[in-house]
This record gives sequence, structure tokens and C-alpha cells, in this order.
Amino acid sequence: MIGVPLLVRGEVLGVLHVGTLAPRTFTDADAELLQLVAERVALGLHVRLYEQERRMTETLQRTFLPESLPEVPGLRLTSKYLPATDPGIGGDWYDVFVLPSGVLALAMGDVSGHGLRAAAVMGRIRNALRACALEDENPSEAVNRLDRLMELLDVTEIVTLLFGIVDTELSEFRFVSAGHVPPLVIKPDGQSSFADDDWSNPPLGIGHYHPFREHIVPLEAGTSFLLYTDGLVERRDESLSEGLERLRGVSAPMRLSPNPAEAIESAIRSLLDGREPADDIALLLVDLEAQSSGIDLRIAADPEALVTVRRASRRWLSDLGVPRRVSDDVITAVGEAGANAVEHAYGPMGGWLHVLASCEGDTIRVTVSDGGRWRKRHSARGRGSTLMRSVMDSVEIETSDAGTTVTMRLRLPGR
Amino acid sequence: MSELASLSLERHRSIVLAGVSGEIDLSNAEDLRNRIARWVINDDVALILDFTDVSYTDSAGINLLFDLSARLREHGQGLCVILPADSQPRRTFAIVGVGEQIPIFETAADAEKWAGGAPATRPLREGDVAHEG
Repeated sequence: MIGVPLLVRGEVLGVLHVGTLAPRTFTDADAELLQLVAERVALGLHVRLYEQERRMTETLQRTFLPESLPEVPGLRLTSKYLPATDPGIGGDWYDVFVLPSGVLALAMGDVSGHGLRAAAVMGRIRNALRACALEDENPSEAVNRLDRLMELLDVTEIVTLLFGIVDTELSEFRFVSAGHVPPLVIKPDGQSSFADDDWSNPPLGIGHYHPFREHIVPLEAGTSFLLYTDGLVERRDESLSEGLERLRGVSAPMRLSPNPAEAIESAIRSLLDGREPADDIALLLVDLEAQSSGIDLRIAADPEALVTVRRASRRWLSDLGVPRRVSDDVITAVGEAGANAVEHAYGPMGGWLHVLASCEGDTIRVTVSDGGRWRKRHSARGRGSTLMRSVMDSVEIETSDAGTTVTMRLRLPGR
Repeated sequence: MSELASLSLERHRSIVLAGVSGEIDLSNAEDLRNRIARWVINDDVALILDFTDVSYTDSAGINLLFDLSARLREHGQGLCVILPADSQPRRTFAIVGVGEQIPIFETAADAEKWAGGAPATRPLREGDVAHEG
């Protein structure tokens, strides 16, 4: 019997044995020939084992990434995930979810290592972070809690994380970076800068007993910001700051691009410059729409649509620079008109709701239309109608077979 | 946006304090009303609704108030609301005259003082102990 090792890059996968039925002596030439065969077999085995793990890792990882990104009026979210081909999929992840108060939570993280273990650890941390954020919406508090959990979660890997929230008025992005690459902010004038480059917080789970420091990025209409993992900027032959500088250089076209997915891909292509990605790349682009000139919102007439209508109204009125008190009044009126349509326009099959708003000169004009017929006894329904008429200068209700349209006007004081 | 408003419920000496924070509209008013109403028991003397952290309410929130008020009145129980002076709910309530039927206070202390006096409107029952001194 003769045996030769099945070797791939110095690692023994097994031994290839050959026996004979008739007695004979194996020569060195036989061994050499068998070694040649073993090399082929080892390579094939390796590819199969590797492929199998890769498929499992990919499947596992996909279940931890959001299937779709939430819809937030005034915001556009685009994500991209590019797994590394070699040395295998890593533990990068991103997460986007809306917290009970309506604030938008964004996470971008990186678990050191590759393969199944990294993906599994990433899943644990992702779920724990969601739980922590639900307990306390302050990013620093959520990350402090998560940090304390690391040992309990049996995480020994180095984990970097960027976690932050965008408030419902879309006025700021408040975040904590635990040793993660800094967010890149692209201003409406095309100038880009990194939001936090003092690296004041260490990665998670290294026995850090001081609270994680928070940073605040003030947002304005037309601003974009980018969360990413270091695979996007790291090259073996240069420093991280050089990589960051290169990212800054190619970032401007991503802001409010008509085709954000393509703009991201083109930025990645120019950063990789023909190389294979050495690590996973995860990327999340947040665009704040340019100043809204009005509202044109058509949605399903469900009770849940009302909050979307209010958010869109609040943002528009804030862009207009309307004082809080007046803005509250307009939102009250729009809310009542919307609630009337949701409650009374349609039967059980439901329908749509169309909100149009604009400001002409010193006068705000809002129309709320539906395609149903308000049931008569509700048409001038007491409180909702009283509220609309009290806070707006004029309220007209037109009903036809095609539906009902409420038109409301308000002259803005001091304009 | 599964939960637009959150609710906390506690009871101190037969007074129920229901704290709502967030926004109240057609999508959650009925659920909030049911959760609050289920918490109130026969022995309670009053319900205080703390709306300090309610940033918005529509007429569904007003219906919730009147509905709870009517149910409690049937049992001789009182209802009042805590609301800061300058807020969307306060203005909305003022327009439809909520204050004429339901007492509105700006501080928890005032509301509790009122609620503590509310038993006067409650008929005496067996087991009631008169305070001495």
C-alpha cells in the first residue's frame, strides 16, 4: 500500500491511499505519479468544501441583511453589499429600521474574520442591537448596552459599529462610532467631509467602561451621507487615511444622483481600480431630498397612512420656515381631512388618498382628495370639520361622483 | 412604524395614572382607549391621563377622551388630563371645548390634588374608612 498527502497550501485535507491485489513493491516513480493525482484530487476537494461553506455563509448572511429598506418621506435610502471573493465572505452588515417614535435607525458594522463564524456572530450582534435600540433610542445608550452584552453573546471577535438615528424632522443624524470608519457627509454645494475622524471610541467588547461618545451631524435639504465598511477604503499598500481621501474624492456624484445604485457602483469601481475587493464592502447612502416645493403624495387610504401624511407635511412646512404653531395648525387640518377620507370615503375594499400642497405668495393651499363618496351623515362630521375650519382661513368641500376634494387655504402671518 | 404611541399605566391609592407619549390618531386611538379602560377597576376613584408627551392628536384622540369620560362618569369616577400650555393637543382640545367637560391641568401635582378630592363625587361604599384627626 502507498499513501500520499492531499495538500492545499500546506494544509492536509486527507491522505490518498492506493493498494494492490497482487504483491508488488511501489517505486519512487509510483509515488511521484500518485502525488500528481493527489494534487488534483486535493484541489477538487478543497473547492467543494470551500464552495459549500461559502454557500452556507452567504445564505446565513443574507437573512441578516434587510430585505427592503423602509420608506421615509423626504429621505432616499440606497444600499449595496459586495462580498469579498477571497478569503471569503466576512462579517459586514448594515441594518435600517424605524423605531416606535418614528425616528430612523441606521447601523453599519464589521465583525473581524471570515466565513460561517463571522456571519453567525454578525447575526447575534445585529439582533442584540435592535433590542438595545428599542429599549433606549439614544444611540450612545443603545451602544453602551450592546457593549456590555458582548461577553454574554460569546463574541471574541473585534467588532466595529456605527449606529445612529435620524430624527422625524430630518434635522440631524446623531450617531456613535465604535472604532468604525467615519460617515462621509456630502453637502448641497458638493463639499464632502468626514463627520467624526477623532476615533474617540474603541471597537465593541474590549472592556471599555466609559460611555461611547455621540456625534451630531446637522442635516439640511439636499445633504447626503454615506455609511460604509473599511473594505471600501482599505488597500494593502497604503494607509487608511489615503483610502479615506480617495473616497472623499469620488463622493460628490453620489449625492442625490438620479440613479443612486449606479452612482454607488461607479464610485466603488473607481475606488477598486480593477482590483478584486480584499474584504467585504457594505455601503448605505442616505439622501435628503432637495428642498420640497410642496407635497404631492398619493397613498393607500389606510389609518396608517395618516402618519406618513403628517411627516411629509411637517417636513414641507419646516422647509418653508413656517413657525411651529402655524405648522401645528396646518398639520391638524391636513390630519383631519385625511382621517375623514380614510374613515368615510371607502367601503371595506379601501381606496386611495391624494394630498397636494403648495405655497403661492403668502398663502398655503392644501387639497386632500379621495375617490370615494363620504357617507352623508359623516360629511360635515362635527369635530374634524370644526377643527379644520378653526385653524385654516377657508375650507371648501367638493363632492362629486368621482370623489371628494377638500381645499384649504391659510395666509401666513408676516409675509 | 408599528407603534405610534406608547402607554404606561400605574395605580397609586385608587388613582390610575395613564401616561401616553407619541402621537394619537385614527390608527391607534381605539387601541389606546381599550388598553386604558381595561386597566381601570371599580375601586378606582379617578383616572389621570398624562398627555405631557403627546406631540399630536387628531379628533380620534378627542373622541377617546370623551368616551373614557362618559364611561367613568357612569361609575362615579373622575377623569382629568395633564397637558402643557403650549402644545398641539392643548390647542386642538381648546378649539372643540374639551376643557368645559374635562378638567385640564398643566402639572401632575395639580392633577393629583384634583383627583385626590374627586372621591367627594363618589358615593360611600362598604369598607370605606373615615379618616380621623
